Amino acid sequence: MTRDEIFSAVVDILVDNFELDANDIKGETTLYEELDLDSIDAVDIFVALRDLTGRRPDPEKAKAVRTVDELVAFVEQELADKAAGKPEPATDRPSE
Amino acid sequence: MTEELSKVSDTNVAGGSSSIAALSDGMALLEPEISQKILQIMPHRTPMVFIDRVVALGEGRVLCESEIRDDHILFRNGAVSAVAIVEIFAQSAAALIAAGLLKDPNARMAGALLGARNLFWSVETLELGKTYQCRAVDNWGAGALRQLECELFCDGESVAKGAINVVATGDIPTG
Repeated sequence: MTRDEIFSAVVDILVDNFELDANDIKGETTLYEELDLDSIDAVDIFVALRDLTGRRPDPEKAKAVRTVDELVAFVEQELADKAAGKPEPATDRPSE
Repeated sequence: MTEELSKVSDTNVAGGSSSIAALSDGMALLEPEISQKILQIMPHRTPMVFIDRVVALGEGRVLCESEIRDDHILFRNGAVSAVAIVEIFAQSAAALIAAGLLKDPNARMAGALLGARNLFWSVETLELGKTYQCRAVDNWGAGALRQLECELFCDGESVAKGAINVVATGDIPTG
Protein backbone atom coordinates (compact mmCIF):
# COMPACT_ATOMS: atom_id res chain seq x y z
CA MET A 1 0.00 0.00 0.00
CA THR A 2 1.21 3.50 -0.76
CA ARG A 3 1.15 6.20 1.90
CA ASP A 4 -1.82 7.82 0.14
CA GLU A 5 -3.70 4.53 0.15
CA ILE A 6 -2.98 4.07 3.84
CA PHE A 7 -4.12 7.63 4.56
CA SER A 8 -7.35 6.97 2.64
CA ALA A 9 -7.92 3.72 4.54
CA VAL A 10 -7.31 5.47 7.87
CA VAL A 11 -9.79 8.22 6.95
CA ASP A 12 -12.36 5.57 6.01
CA ILE A 13 -11.90 3.88 9.40
CA LEU A 14 -12.36 7.18 11.23
CA VAL A 15 -15.41 8.18 9.19
CA ASP A 16 -17.07 4.75 9.36
CA ASN A 17 -16.50 4.21 13.07
CA PHE A 18 -17.09 7.68 14.46
CA GLU A 19 -19.29 9.44 11.90
CA LEU A 20 -16.64 12.08 11.31
CA ASP A 21 -16.54 14.38 8.30
CA ALA A 22 -13.70 13.31 6.00
CA ASN A 23 -13.01 16.99 5.26
CA ASP A 24 -12.07 17.51 8.91
CA ILE A 25 -9.35 14.86 8.77
CA LYS A 26 -5.92 16.09 7.70
CA GLY A 27 -2.51 14.61 8.30
CA GLU A 28 -1.74 16.97 11.15
CA THR A 29 -5.16 16.55 12.78
CA THR A 30 -4.90 15.37 16.37
CA LEU A 31 -7.03 12.35 17.23
CA TYR A 32 -7.90 13.23 20.79
CA GLU A 33 -8.09 17.01 20.79
CA GLU A 34 -9.38 17.94 17.34
CA LEU A 35 -11.39 14.81 16.49
CA ASP A 36 -12.52 14.45 20.10
CA LEU A 37 -11.76 10.74 20.21
CA ASP A 38 -10.88 9.00 23.46
CA SER A 39 -8.89 5.97 24.53
CA ILE A 40 -11.92 3.68 24.11
CA ASP A 41 -12.29 4.90 20.53
CA ALA A 42 -8.58 4.19 20.08
CA VAL A 43 -9.21 0.52 20.81
CA ASP A 44 -11.76 0.44 17.97
CA ILE A 45 -9.26 2.17 15.67
CA PHE A 46 -6.46 -0.28 16.34
CA VAL A 47 -8.75 -3.30 16.04
CA ALA A 48 -9.72 -1.94 12.61
CA LEU A 49 -6.04 -1.41 11.76
CA ARG A 50 -5.36 -5.01 12.72
CA ASP A 51 -7.84 -6.03 10.05
CA LEU A 52 -6.10 -3.67 7.60
CA THR A 53 -2.56 -4.90 8.25
CA GLY A 54 -3.32 -8.50 9.18
CA ARG A 55 -1.13 -8.05 12.22
CA ARG A 56 -1.72 -7.39 15.93
CA PRO A 57 -0.80 -3.74 16.52
CA ASP A 58 2.02 -3.10 18.94
CA PRO A 59 0.27 -1.73 22.08
CA GLU A 60 3.26 0.30 23.24
CA LYS A 61 3.68 2.04 19.89
CA ALA A 62 -0.08 2.51 19.62
CA LYS A 63 -0.14 4.44 22.89
CA ALA A 64 2.27 7.01 21.42
CA VAL A 65 0.11 7.85 18.37
CA ARG A 66 -1.43 11.32 18.57
CA THR A 67 -2.11 12.52 14.99
CA VAL A 68 -3.49 11.09 11.75
CA ASP A 69 -0.01 11.27 10.20
CA GLU A 70 1.38 9.28 13.11
CA LEU A 71 -1.40 6.75 12.60
CA VAL A 72 -0.45 6.44 8.93
CA ALA A 73 3.21 6.03 9.86
CA PHE A 74 2.19 3.41 12.41
CA VAL A 75 0.42 1.41 9.69
CA GLU A 76 3.41 1.79 7.36
CA GLN A 77 5.66 0.38 10.05
CA GLU A 78 3.27 -2.49 10.79
CA LEU A 79 3.16 -3.42 7.10
CA ALA A 80 6.96 -3.18 6.86
CA ASP A 81 7.34 -5.39 9.95
CA LYS A 82 4.93 -7.89 8.45
CA ALA A 83 6.82 -7.93 5.15
CA ALA A 84 10.07 -8.44 7.06
CA GLY A 85 8.57 -11.40 8.87
CA LYS A 86 8.89 -9.82 12.30
CA PRO A 87 6.88 -11.62 14.97
CA GLU A 88 3.76 -9.97 16.30
CA PRO A 89 4.19 -8.09 19.58
CA ALA A 90 3.11 -9.71 22.81
CA THR A 91 -0.40 -9.11 24.03
CA ASP A 92 -0.67 -6.19 26.43
CA ARG A 93 -2.27 -7.76 29.50
CA PRO A 94 -4.32 -5.75 31.99
CA SER A 95 -2.13 -6.92 34.84
CA GLU A 96 1.08 -5.71 33.21
CA MET B 1 -10.87 -30.53 16.63
CA THR B 2 -7.84 -30.68 18.87
CA GLU B 3 -6.58 -33.76 20.63
CA GLU B 4 -7.70 -32.32 23.96
CA LEU B 5 -11.23 -31.92 22.74
CA SER B 6 -11.38 -35.49 21.54
CA LYS B 7 -11.11 -36.50 25.19
CA VAL B 8 -14.21 -34.57 26.16
CA SER B 9 -17.17 -36.43 27.54
CA ASP B 10 -20.63 -35.04 28.27
CA THR B 11 -20.11 -35.79 31.93
CA ASN B 12 -17.83 -32.81 32.55
CA VAL B 13 -19.42 -30.28 30.22
CA ALA B 14 -22.96 -29.33 31.09
CA GLY B 15 -23.80 -28.31 27.56
CA GLY B 16 -22.50 -31.61 26.21
CA SER B 17 -22.01 -31.77 22.47
CA SER B 18 -23.34 -28.24 22.03
CA SER B 19 -20.47 -26.94 24.16
CA ILE B 20 -18.01 -28.80 22.01
CA ALA B 21 -19.54 -27.20 18.93
CA ALA B 22 -18.88 -23.78 20.43
CA LEU B 23 -15.22 -24.51 21.08
CA SER B 24 -12.70 -23.19 18.64
CA ASP B 25 -9.22 -24.42 17.89
CA GLY B 26 -6.60 -24.05 20.56
CA MET B 27 -8.87 -24.25 23.60
CA ALA B 28 -8.44 -26.91 26.25
CA LEU B 29 -11.14 -27.96 28.66
CA LEU B 30 -10.76 -26.85 32.27
CA GLU B 31 -11.15 -28.88 35.42
CA PRO B 32 -14.12 -27.68 37.53
CA GLU B 33 -11.82 -26.50 40.34
CA ILE B 34 -9.91 -24.23 37.94
CA SER B 35 -13.20 -22.83 36.70
CA GLN B 36 -14.19 -22.14 40.29
CA LYS B 37 -10.93 -20.32 40.98
CA ILE B 38 -11.49 -18.09 37.95
CA LEU B 39 -15.02 -17.27 39.10
CA GLN B 40 -13.66 -16.35 42.54
CA ILE B 41 -11.13 -13.93 41.02
CA MET B 42 -13.86 -12.23 39.00
CA PRO B 43 -15.59 -9.34 40.80
CA HIS B 44 -19.14 -10.54 40.08
CA ARG B 45 -21.15 -11.86 42.99
CA THR B 46 -24.67 -13.23 43.42
CA PRO B 47 -27.19 -12.22 42.14
CA MET B 48 -25.13 -10.63 39.37
CA VAL B 49 -23.25 -13.78 38.39
CA PHE B 50 -24.43 -14.61 34.86
CA ILE B 51 -22.00 -17.40 34.01
CA ASP B 52 -21.93 -20.72 35.83
CA ARG B 53 -18.61 -22.13 34.75
CA VAL B 54 -15.59 -21.57 32.59
CA VAL B 55 -15.53 -24.57 30.28
CA ALA B 56 -12.39 -24.08 28.23
CA LEU B 57 -9.48 -21.75 27.85
CA GLY B 58 -6.91 -21.02 25.17
CA GLU B 59 -4.53 -18.29 24.07
CA GLY B 60 -6.66 -15.15 24.17
CA ARG B 61 -9.95 -17.05 24.20
CA VAL B 62 -12.38 -18.57 26.62
CA LEU B 63 -15.62 -20.53 26.60
CA CYS B 64 -18.12 -20.05 29.42
CA GLU B 65 -21.53 -21.52 30.16
CA SER B 66 -24.66 -19.89 31.47
CA GLU B 67 -27.67 -21.88 32.67
CA ILE B 68 -31.01 -20.12 32.70
CA ARG B 69 -32.82 -20.78 35.97
CA ASP B 70 -35.91 -19.23 37.53
CA ASP B 71 -33.80 -17.50 40.20
CA HIS B 72 -31.99 -15.38 37.58
CA ILE B 73 -32.23 -11.71 38.52
CA LEU B 74 -33.65 -10.87 35.07
CA PHE B 75 -36.12 -13.79 35.00
CA ARG B 76 -39.55 -12.46 34.00
CA ASN B 77 -42.60 -14.20 32.51
CA GLY B 78 -40.83 -17.52 32.15
CA ALA B 79 -37.61 -16.36 30.51
CA VAL B 80 -34.67 -13.98 30.72
CA SER B 81 -34.55 -10.94 28.47
CA ALA B 82 -31.98 -11.03 25.69
CA VAL B 83 -30.41 -7.89 27.15
CA ALA B 84 -28.65 -10.30 29.52
CA ILE B 85 -26.55 -11.40 26.56
CA VAL B 86 -24.40 -8.30 26.80
CA GLU B 87 -23.66 -9.04 30.45
CA ILE B 88 -22.86 -12.68 29.62
CA PHE B 89 -20.40 -11.33 27.05
CA ALA B 90 -18.89 -8.99 29.65
CA GLN B 91 -18.57 -11.70 32.28
CA SER B 92 -16.97 -14.06 29.77
CA ALA B 93 -14.45 -11.33 29.03
CA ALA B 94 -13.88 -10.99 32.76
CA ALA B 95 -13.31 -14.74 32.98
CA LEU B 96 -10.60 -14.53 30.35
CA ILE B 97 -8.86 -11.70 32.15
CA ALA B 98 -9.25 -13.44 35.52
CA ALA B 99 -7.70 -16.59 34.07
CA GLY B 100 -4.57 -14.55 33.47
CA LEU B 101 -4.34 -13.92 37.19
CA LEU B 102 -4.61 -17.56 38.29
CA LYS B 103 -0.97 -17.78 39.38
CA ASP B 104 -1.51 -15.22 42.14
CA PRO B 105 -3.40 -16.83 45.05
CA ASN B 106 -4.49 -13.40 46.29
CA ALA B 107 -5.48 -12.03 42.91
CA ARG B 108 -8.63 -9.98 42.55
CA MET B 109 -9.74 -7.87 39.65
CA ALA B 110 -12.08 -5.01 38.92
CA GLY B 111 -13.51 -3.94 35.63
CA ALA B 112 -16.36 -2.43 33.70
CA LEU B 113 -18.18 -2.85 30.43
CA LEU B 114 -17.60 0.26 28.34
CA GLY B 115 -19.66 -0.46 25.26
CA ALA B 116 -20.74 -2.90 22.60
CA ARG B 117 -20.05 -2.86 18.87
CA ASN B 118 -21.87 -4.60 16.00
CA LEU B 119 -24.17 -6.45 18.34
CA PHE B 120 -26.65 -8.87 16.76
CA TRP B 121 -28.94 -11.44 18.31
CA SER B 122 -31.59 -13.75 16.91
CA VAL B 123 -33.54 -14.48 20.10
CA GLU B 124 -35.86 -12.29 22.16
CA THR B 125 -35.27 -14.22 25.37
CA LEU B 126 -32.99 -16.79 26.95
CA GLU B 127 -35.09 -19.85 27.68
CA LEU B 128 -35.59 -21.40 31.09
CA GLY B 129 -33.66 -24.65 31.44
CA LYS B 130 -31.38 -23.97 28.49
CA THR B 131 -27.60 -23.80 28.75
CA TYR B 132 -25.90 -21.13 26.68
CA GLN B 133 -22.23 -21.11 25.74
CA CYS B 134 -20.34 -17.89 25.26
CA ARG B 135 -17.04 -17.79 23.40
CA ALA B 136 -14.99 -14.63 23.93
CA VAL B 137 -11.89 -13.96 21.87
CA ASP B 138 -9.47 -11.17 22.64
CA ASN B 139 -9.34 -8.77 19.69
CA TRP B 140 -6.75 -6.32 20.95
CA GLY B 141 -5.97 -4.20 23.95
CA ALA B 142 -3.63 -1.63 25.40
CA GLY B 143 -3.17 -1.21 29.11
CA ALA B 144 -6.44 -1.75 30.92
CA LEU B 145 -8.58 -1.35 27.77
CA ARG B 146 -9.52 -4.35 25.66
CA GLN B 147 -11.92 -5.36 22.93
CA LEU B 148 -13.25 -8.91 22.72
CA GLU B 149 -15.26 -10.60 20.01
CA CYS B 150 -18.05 -12.62 21.62
CA GLU B 151 -20.54 -15.18 20.35
CA LEU B 152 -23.35 -16.96 22.19
CA PHE B 153 -24.48 -20.45 21.30
CA CYS B 154 -27.46 -22.60 22.28
CA ASP B 155 -27.91 -26.20 21.19
CA GLY B 156 -24.92 -25.77 18.92
CA GLU B 157 -26.41 -22.78 17.08
CA SER B 158 -25.13 -19.22 17.21
CA VAL B 159 -27.80 -16.95 18.71
CA ALA B 160 -25.88 -13.71 19.28
CA LYS B 161 -22.58 -12.08 18.48
CA GLY B 162 -20.80 -8.80 18.84
CA ALA B 163 -17.73 -7.04 20.15
CA ILE B 164 -17.47 -5.47 23.58
CA ASN B 165 -15.03 -2.95 24.95
CA VAL B 166 -14.03 -3.39 28.57
CA VAL B 167 -11.68 -1.90 31.10
CA ALA B 168 -10.09 -4.20 33.63
CA THR B 169 -7.62 -3.21 36.27
CA GLY B 170 -6.50 -6.73 37.05
CA ASP B 171 -4.30 -8.06 39.79
CA ILE B 172 -5.43 -6.08 42.82
CA PRO B 173 -3.90 -7.83 45.83
CA THR B 174 -6.12 -8.32 48.83
CA GLY B 175 -3.30 -8.55 51.33
